[in-house]
Amino acid sequence: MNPSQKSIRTLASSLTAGLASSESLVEESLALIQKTRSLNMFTSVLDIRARERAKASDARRKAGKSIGPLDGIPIAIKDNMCLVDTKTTCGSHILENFVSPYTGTAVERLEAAGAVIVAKTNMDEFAMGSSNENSYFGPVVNPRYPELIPGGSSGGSAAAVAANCVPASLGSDTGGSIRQPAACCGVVGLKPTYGRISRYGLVAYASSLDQIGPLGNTVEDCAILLNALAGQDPHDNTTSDKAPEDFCAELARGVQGMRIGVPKEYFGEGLDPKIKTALLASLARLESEGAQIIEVHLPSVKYAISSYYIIATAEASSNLSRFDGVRYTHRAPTARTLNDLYCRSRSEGFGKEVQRRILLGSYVLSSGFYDAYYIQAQKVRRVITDDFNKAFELCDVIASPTLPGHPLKLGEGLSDPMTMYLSDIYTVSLNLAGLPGISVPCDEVDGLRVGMQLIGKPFGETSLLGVAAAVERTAKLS
Amino acid sequence: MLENKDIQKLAKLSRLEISDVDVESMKGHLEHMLAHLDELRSLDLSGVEPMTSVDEPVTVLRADVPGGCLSHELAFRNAPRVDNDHFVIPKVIG
Repeated sequence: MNPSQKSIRTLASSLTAGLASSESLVEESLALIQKTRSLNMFTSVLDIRARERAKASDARRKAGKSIGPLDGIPIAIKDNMCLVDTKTTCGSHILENFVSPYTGTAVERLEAAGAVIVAKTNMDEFAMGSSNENSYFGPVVNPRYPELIPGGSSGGSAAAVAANCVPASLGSDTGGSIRQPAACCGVVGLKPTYGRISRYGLVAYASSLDQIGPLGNTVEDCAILLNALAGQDPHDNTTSDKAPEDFCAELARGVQGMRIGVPKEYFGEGLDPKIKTALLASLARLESEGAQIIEVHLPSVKYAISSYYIIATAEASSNLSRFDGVRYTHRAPTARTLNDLYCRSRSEGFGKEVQRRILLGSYVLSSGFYDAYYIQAQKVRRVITDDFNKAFELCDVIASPTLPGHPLKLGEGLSDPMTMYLSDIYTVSLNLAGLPGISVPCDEVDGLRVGMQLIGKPFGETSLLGVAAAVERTAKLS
Repeated sequence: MLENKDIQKLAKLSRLEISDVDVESMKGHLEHMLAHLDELRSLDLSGVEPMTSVDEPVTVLRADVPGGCLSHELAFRNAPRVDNDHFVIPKVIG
């Protein structure tokens, strides 16, 4: 981490030492948000609410009742998570004026841990995109590399951390939407195991794949946030009943004796040779610290993109049917019949990419194509999951690139959405298999940070974060 | 190959209104996508069970106890048109 970058740990230390107050941290955060407005990273700034909560945090601290490392720390959340009485737009015209009637579980847990939510972040509409160019509110600019995309769909969350507006943020990841923007913006992003964090209050894109997770400047900050967010929730019956653990426990463990699997399928054709060299050099540094590097095989991951886009769009076409012009904000003013109301409200409210994905989802679910596409994709999902299970018999953690190359230039992928979809080639398979994954900056190539993706066993975040911390410690960053 | 009427049928199923101008670009995009997705159709996966969701965790059910829910006021707050605790829609029966 660059010393000028914020981290939860350093800010919490300043609070404990009395060198800062939550109010001063929040004011600093709000000032930076204001100063960087041209980067379009935020959809709402919650200044009044944040100031009140910062004041309450300072009062707790003064009374000796501080809650923990997140108490008083400014955090941003992606604008597809409900926070009561604030707008949740999902980057869409159809939800432009939607005000959350309740707070989702992950956000509630964040606030219960004392965190101060200062803003909601811009995103690809309904989390559909890999560049943040699909937002109704316009694209986000990458603070580190302004000519390149910030990644998506949690591009605002990654950019907000890279720009130092907040030390950490929350994103959501359906096919790489935390890890991919983290790599584009040169920060750390963790997608936990499916079932680790409740999605209650997260606007659904593809329910069998969606997962909430943290982004930060350090691996430790992601672990601190996961400690606050993880655990069973009666409102989301896909959450695991596994007992909570301390995700910071192995951060200093090192990699002595750890077996790191390297799938040849992820280091072959399609990967930029210079990025490959940087990743292998990073793995060599881990080897010199005692890790074993083992070749593993994931023969079916080449079908992951196809399987993912069939399953995700099928689920999206169903999930987004609730936006009908009747219950949520946007309604076509001139509709004369109920069907007309549905069709016009949705066509006016959804952007082109969302409409494309809904149409594709309807196609793969329609009579005559259901077995050939949807069921076949689910079978491929099983085979890919089996590949990972077999690989994990030989290793503890799997390493791969996060991106196949440098981030695209702004506008470069808009004319051919397939090019954009293929940028998720290394990330989507984890969502299909429900595995945890983290992207960590490990080196620089052509002056740009390179993200290494580490993949863990189901519910193996503690070990995963330990290896990620070792990658971070040995990273070659300016 | 898709035809314009296929796109219009999908739009109807999806409750979307696609303009004639947009039909061509939507058709092009869908054909491009399907050409890629077709790689799955030739795979022999006859013995494989479809995976509808992640195997772990097993779905955990909460106790069947009535809990808090949204008030009428909150539930209707985002509706574009409401009348006496009802969502208002265009006339359905003539």
